[in-house]
Amino acid sequence: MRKNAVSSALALGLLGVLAACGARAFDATKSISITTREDGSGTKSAFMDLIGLKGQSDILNVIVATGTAAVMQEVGGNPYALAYDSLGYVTSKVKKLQVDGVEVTTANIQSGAYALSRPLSVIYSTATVSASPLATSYLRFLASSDAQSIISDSGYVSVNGAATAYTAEGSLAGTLGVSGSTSLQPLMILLAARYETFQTHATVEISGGGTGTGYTNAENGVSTFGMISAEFEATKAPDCVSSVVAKDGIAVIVNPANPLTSISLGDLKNLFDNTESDSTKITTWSQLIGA
Amino acid sequence: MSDLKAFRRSRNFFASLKITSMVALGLSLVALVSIVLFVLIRGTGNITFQLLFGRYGTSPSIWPAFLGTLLLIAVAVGAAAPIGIASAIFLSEYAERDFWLIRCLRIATETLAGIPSIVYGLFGYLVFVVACGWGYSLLGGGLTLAIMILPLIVRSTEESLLAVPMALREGSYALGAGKVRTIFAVVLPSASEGILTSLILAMGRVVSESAVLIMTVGMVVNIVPVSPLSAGTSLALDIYYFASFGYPEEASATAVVLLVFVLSLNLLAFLLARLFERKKGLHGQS
Amino acid sequence: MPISSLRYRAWREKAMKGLFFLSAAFSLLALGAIILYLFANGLPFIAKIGFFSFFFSTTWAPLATLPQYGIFSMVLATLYVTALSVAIGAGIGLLAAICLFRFVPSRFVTPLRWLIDLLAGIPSVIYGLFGLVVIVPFIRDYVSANGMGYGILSASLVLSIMILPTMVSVSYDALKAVSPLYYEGALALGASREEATFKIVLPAAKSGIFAGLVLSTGRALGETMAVIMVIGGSPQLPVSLTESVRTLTANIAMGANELTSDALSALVATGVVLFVFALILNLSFSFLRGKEGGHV
Repeated sequence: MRKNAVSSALALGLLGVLAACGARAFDATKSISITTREDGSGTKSAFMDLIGLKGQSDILNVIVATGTAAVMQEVGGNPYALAYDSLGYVTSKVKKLQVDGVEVTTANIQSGAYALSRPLSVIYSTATVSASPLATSYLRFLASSDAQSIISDSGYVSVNGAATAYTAEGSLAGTLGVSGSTSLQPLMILLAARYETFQTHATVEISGGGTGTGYTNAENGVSTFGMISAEFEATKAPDCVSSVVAKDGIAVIVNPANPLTSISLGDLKNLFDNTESDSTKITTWSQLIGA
Repeated sequence: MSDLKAFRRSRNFFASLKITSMVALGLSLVALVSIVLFVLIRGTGNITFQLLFGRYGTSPSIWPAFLGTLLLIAVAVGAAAPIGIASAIFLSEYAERDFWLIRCLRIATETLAGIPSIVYGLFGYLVFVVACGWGYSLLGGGLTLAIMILPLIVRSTEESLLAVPMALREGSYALGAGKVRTIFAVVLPSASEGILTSLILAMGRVVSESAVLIMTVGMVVNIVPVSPLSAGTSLALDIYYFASFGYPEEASATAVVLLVFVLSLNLLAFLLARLFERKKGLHGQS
Repeated sequence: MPISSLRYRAWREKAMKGLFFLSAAFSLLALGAIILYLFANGLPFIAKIGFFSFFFSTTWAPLATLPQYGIFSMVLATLYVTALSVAIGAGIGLLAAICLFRFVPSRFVTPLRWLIDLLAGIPSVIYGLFGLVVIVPFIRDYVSANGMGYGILSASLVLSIMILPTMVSVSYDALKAVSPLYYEGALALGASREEATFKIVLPAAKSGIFAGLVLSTGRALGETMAVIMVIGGSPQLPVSLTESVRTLTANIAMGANELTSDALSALVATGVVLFVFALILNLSFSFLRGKEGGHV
């Protein structure tokens, strides 16, 4: 008797899960479910800055996702979700919206036509780097065509059109410390791996800690390079300069079942603005679709 | 008549409670099966040789995490086991007088057991990363974990020691052995099964822990750690990293690896318990 | 035995006793260090913000242009999640333990116990993923009235599975420890098997079960990684079971990526509050157990 109860409970559960994956008609009267990132995320601060809400705290009832898996999971599974994520992480499980009618492609990001893009940079102190042949060669590598191809293959936007191939300096050895923005970390790991195939005696150690840590560590020499994922602010690291590694587009994503194809910057700001009054606040999909 | 009704009602009520308890047991098992199936279904297909043993380069590898995890186990259990066992010995063998002191020590151990793991993470960050100046390091993470698993080891070891019959100790004293010799030659070997099991379970705790490590080891996923002072990562942390930074298949695959690791540890503890049971049975005494 | 060797042995006895004592005292030392570092880094911050403003304000916005640090919403969310998960998990766990104790043939008991213990070994990250991929969509599509899957309900469900094995294990041991005479006596007086178990043996195992309850509550209070993936994360006042909220543990973990000085102090201050909660939980349990007259 117990075995039957268990197996029918299992079957019901499985049915439920299967049914959840099935398609449903899109009901535009439902409210928009917004997902953002956690406060320490460079992607988030860049996004809020780009839509004109710099330094503002979150709206109510927003889902704070800690990482891309949570973002993709929510938007891929919830027909009424809206979120933003770095272009390099967007998969086919979700649909990318045009912003002000502009498609989010690498060409549009490079030309600047697409509004939501930000530079991913390394910051360093010129004195430290010029004294270290290893660090200098790494900078050279980052500008090379080998690096650019990795950058574009990973979904980021190359900034150095006139790049040439990297030539190895065989005798260089040592360890480079890189730390900072976790938005740049995965790309930097790929770049470092390629670099190490050229310079076989060098090791590049990459850790996270956030954009703030990147500024601090580069400024006080804990790391050779700091990684930041927003426009460089010289006041945060007066002894450092920055060098853009790549540009990253921030895509606005919705569920594939969602009929919406484009959103305006003004509407985006309205959605994420916690000072927007209730009368003008956009809350349901019908206010965006067919508008 | 109403007595009979009340009697029947009571019987029926409790009989229905029996069914409720069976449902509860069934639910627990369903939960277990769902989670294990969930991990296996999502992850097994994504396990590749590169992911397990390769070098972390253009595609991810959990080899650095694997080494990091082993190092963490070595540091955490290596530090906590001697201190924990010695503490338990003190609490169980020397506890006659100083009742107030014993109470204090016990309260301290229990309080340590109740501290949330993320608070241990904060502590580890403040002490080992900042105050000691080591920066993110596996040693710092391991030592923080050691403090975290210490109460577990103390508690289980004490239980095992208390389970050793007084007669064994008295026999040893009667033969002229001192207290210390009795402890090392008679009591500890007798309690060794329980102690070993608790160490294995503590290892399992170390492997599954991630909140502490997020703040102490730095989540450096691509470098094989060269010394305890290097920053690093662990299997559980790698799952979090892969899930957060766009490698969902690798996250699921690592989850399978971690699950197998932990289940093996549990299986080992179970087999050890069975082995010692059989040994005890053979010798005809406990 | 020669005198010198006796004296050596006496010295060795004392030295070892001292060594054992130092090891035991290490726990006290570690606890002291933890309290010291946490409070030294967290209390000045709380003092700066003002205790009432810190604890009772409901606005948490550390990175805004005008930072605000109020944790009350998170305190409430933590309390709700803990209470609900213990209610569900400990309830089911206790019932399952009773079933194992009395209503399952004895040859199945050890394998079933071992299976349930496996749940205890599963890392919390995996629970988090399970919650994110299975439980949250289920709640969102079939249970929630407002189309939100995250929140206190999802987190409580995940946590209740996590505390099941602890509760089952401890309750089973407590039930087993009750003298069989209670059960047999009840049967002899005419009770049914179920009546005897629930009405007589269960109350007799009260203190052990209560210990399990406290352990489970501690686990639910302190869990981070699983909660962070299913709770939603918005630091707002919780008014429903399916809305995005944040617990104290999630607050600390979410901030762990931006450890600038003020943000770090805010996190440590949150840690202090969490630590005090855990302390209150443990101390009240010790106090209650002392009242029962049980052993230390």
